[in-house]
Amino acid sequence: MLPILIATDAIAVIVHATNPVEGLSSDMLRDIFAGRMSRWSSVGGLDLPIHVVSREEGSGTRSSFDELVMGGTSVTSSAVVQDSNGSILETVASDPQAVGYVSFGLVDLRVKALAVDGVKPGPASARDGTYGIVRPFLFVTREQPTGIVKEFVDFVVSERGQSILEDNGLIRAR
Amino acid sequence: MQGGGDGVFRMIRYSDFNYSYGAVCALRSLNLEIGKNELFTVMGPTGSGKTTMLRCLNRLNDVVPSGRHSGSLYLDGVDVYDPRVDVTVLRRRVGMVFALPAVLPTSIFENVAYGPRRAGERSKAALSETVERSLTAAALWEEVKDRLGERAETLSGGQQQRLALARVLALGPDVILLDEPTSGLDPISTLRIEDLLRELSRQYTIVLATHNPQQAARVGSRVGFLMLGELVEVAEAGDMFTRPRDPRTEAFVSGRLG
Amino acid sequence: MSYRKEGSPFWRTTVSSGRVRSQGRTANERVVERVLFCCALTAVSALALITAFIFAEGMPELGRTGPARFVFGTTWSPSRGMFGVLPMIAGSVAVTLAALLMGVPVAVACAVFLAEMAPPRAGVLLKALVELLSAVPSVVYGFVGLTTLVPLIREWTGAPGFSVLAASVVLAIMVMPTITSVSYESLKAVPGSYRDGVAALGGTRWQAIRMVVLPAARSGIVAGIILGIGRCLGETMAVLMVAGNAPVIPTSLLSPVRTLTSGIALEMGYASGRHREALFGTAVVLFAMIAALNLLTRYVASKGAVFGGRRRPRDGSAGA
Repeated sequence: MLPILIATDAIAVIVHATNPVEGLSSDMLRDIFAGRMSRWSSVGGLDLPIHVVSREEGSGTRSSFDELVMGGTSVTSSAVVQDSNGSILETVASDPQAVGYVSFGLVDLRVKALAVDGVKPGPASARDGTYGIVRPFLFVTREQPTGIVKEFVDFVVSERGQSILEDNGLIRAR
Repeated sequence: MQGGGDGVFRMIRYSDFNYSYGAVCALRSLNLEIGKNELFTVMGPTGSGKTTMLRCLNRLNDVVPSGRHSGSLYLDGVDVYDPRVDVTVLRRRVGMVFALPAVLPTSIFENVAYGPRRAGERSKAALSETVERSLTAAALWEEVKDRLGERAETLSGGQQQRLALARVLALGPDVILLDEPTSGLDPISTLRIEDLLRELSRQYTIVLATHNPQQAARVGSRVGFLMLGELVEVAEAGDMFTRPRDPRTEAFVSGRLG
Repeated sequence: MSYRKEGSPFWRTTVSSGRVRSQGRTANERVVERVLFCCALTAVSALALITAFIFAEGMPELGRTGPARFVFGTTWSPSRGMFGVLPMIAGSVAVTLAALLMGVPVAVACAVFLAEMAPPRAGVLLKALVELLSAVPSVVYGFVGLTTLVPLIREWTGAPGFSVLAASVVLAIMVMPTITSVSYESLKAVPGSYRDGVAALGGTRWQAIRMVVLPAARSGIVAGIILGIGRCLGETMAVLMVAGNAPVIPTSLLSPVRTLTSGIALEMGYASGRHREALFGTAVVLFAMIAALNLLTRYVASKGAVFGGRRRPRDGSAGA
C-alpha cells in the first residue's frame, strides 16, 4: 500500500458563538471529553453543565480526535453522538452549552473555534505545527500509480487541485 | 287517548304515522292498533320497514340524523315523540331483542342485572331475585343457574338469545320488541323461542318482526304484512295464510316474493 | 356427494357440465397455482436469505464475546473491542414504552371519536387525514423533531434535548395513525346491534362504547398496538436524528439514548472487521426481539378469538 499525502485537515473544537470561553488547554479538552470536567465554570465559562457532542465510533474524525486529543482515555459514553460533521455543527450552533469538534473548513459564524493551548486553528497554525489537532488526508494506492490514476493524483497535487482543496477548507500539502 | 270504543285496552297505536330517512320513505301513513298482552307479528320482505316500525316505538331511531317522523305514535296513551318523554324510561318500558344476540362482555348474572342496576337498583338480594325471575321467565334458569358467574359469550346462540330476552324482562317492561330474533338460530332453538313468546304474551305486549311467513304462521297470532313501508293487510294468521285479501300478500306467503 | 343419489336429470346435467368446466379450469388453475406458489416462495426465500445472512455475519462476534456478555454487556466501545448491547436494548425498550404510553391513549381515543362520535362523513374525512400522516416519510418526522422538539426540550430543561423524551414523542406521533386506523376498523366492525343492545336497556352512548364496543373491538385494538410496537422498535432515521445516540442505559426521560436500529445505522458507515460483525450481532438481537413480538401477536390474536366479543355465537343447537 502506498500512501500519497494530498492535504491536511485541522480539527476545530467548537462552541456556540455566545460562549465566553475562548480557549482550552489540551488537558482541559481531554478532561471535558472524558466526562471528568462537566461544568463550564471550571474552564472560565458560565456556571452551566457542558453538553459534549461527539462523532460515532468508526468515523475518521472521531478516530483522529481520539488519537490526537484523548490519548489513552476514551470519550465519555454519555456524550451526544451525531453521525456527521454537519449534524455536529448544527447541534453546537443551536446549543449554547455544547462543545464539539468538526473539520476546520466547516466552521461558520454561528460557532466559535476554540484556541487549544493558546493557538487558534487555521491554515497557518496547522501548517507550521503550532496547532496540534491536525490529521493528514491520504490517497492510498496498491502500487505506484499509472495511467489515469496517475493523471488524477497528479491533478490533485497540482497547483489547481491544491487550490480547489484549499477553497473547501483543507490545508494544502505543498 | 287510551282505550278504544270497543272496550279492548290498546297498548300501541300508530296513527297516520310516517317515517323517512332523508328522501327515502320507510313507513307511510301507518295505522295500527295493538292490544295489551297481544302477540303481534309484523311480516314482510327485507327493507319493508319492519325494523323502523319497531325502532320508533322505543325511539332507538333517534340516533339516525336523517330520520324524520310525522303523525303520532302512542304507547299506553302517551305520544312517544312528546318532548316530555324521558327516552331512558321509555326504553325500560319497551324492551328490545335484536337479530344478533348482543350479550355484554361480562358474566351471565351481570348481563341480566345490567338494566336494573342502570335503573338504580343496588340491593344484592333484589338483584338476585330479579335475575332468577327473569332467567326463569326466559326458560334459561335451569341451564345456567350453576354458572351465573361464567362469561355470557360461553353460551350457545339460542341461549344467548334467551339471555337477551331475560335482560329485557329484568327491566319489567310493558312491551317487548323482537327484530328477527331467530335469524341466526337453528330450527330447534327457533321453535323454543317461538314457544317462549306465546308463553310470555300472557303478561307482555309483544311485537315480533320477521321476514319469514312460516314463522308468522307458526306463532299464529294476529299478523300484519308490511311491504315498501305500507301496511298491506292485517289479519289473524289463519286467515292471512289461507285467504289473503291482497294479491301482494298472497305472493309473499306463497313464496313468490321477498 | 349426496345429490348424486337423488339422480334427478337436473342434478346430473349440472354435475356433468360442471365436470367439463372444471376440466377447462384445472389447466388454468394449475398455472395460476404455480405462479402464486413461486410468489410465495420468493417472499419466504427472501426472509430465509436475510436471516441466514444476518446470522452468518453476526454469530462470529456473538461467539467471540460470548452471547451472554454480548447481550448483557453494558459497555459499547468498538475502539476498545468492547461490544455490549444492553444499553441499546434498554434504549429501544425505553423509547418504545414511552412512545406507547403517550401514543396509545391518544390514538385509541381518536379512533373512538372518529368511529363512534364524529358525524359519519367527517369521520371518514378525518380518518383519511390521519392515514395521510403515515405516508409522511420518517426522516421528515425526524427533521421536524430535530428542529423544533429538541430545542424546545433544551430550553425547558437545560439538558441537551436529544433524549428518550424527544425520540418517544416523535415515535408516538408516528405510530398514532397506525393504531388509530386499525382500531377504527375494528370499532367499525362491531355490529350496530351491540350499541343498540345497550341503548335499548336505557344505557347512554358512552356506556355502550365502554361496556360493549371497546371490549368487542379489543383484539383489533391490541393488534394495532402491536403493529405500533413493531414500528417503534424498527424506526431508525427519525430516532437517530433526535435521540442523541449515547450508548448508555438511560436513567431519565432526558438522557440521550441509542436504540438497536439507530445504533446500527449510526456506525454502519465506517465500521469494518469486528466492529462490523458486532453490528450484525446487534441485528441478530433485534431479529430475536421482533420474532418474540410476532409470537406475542399470535398469542394475543388466538386469545382474542376465544374472548373477543365479535366471535359468532356457538352453534345454536347445543343449548336450545
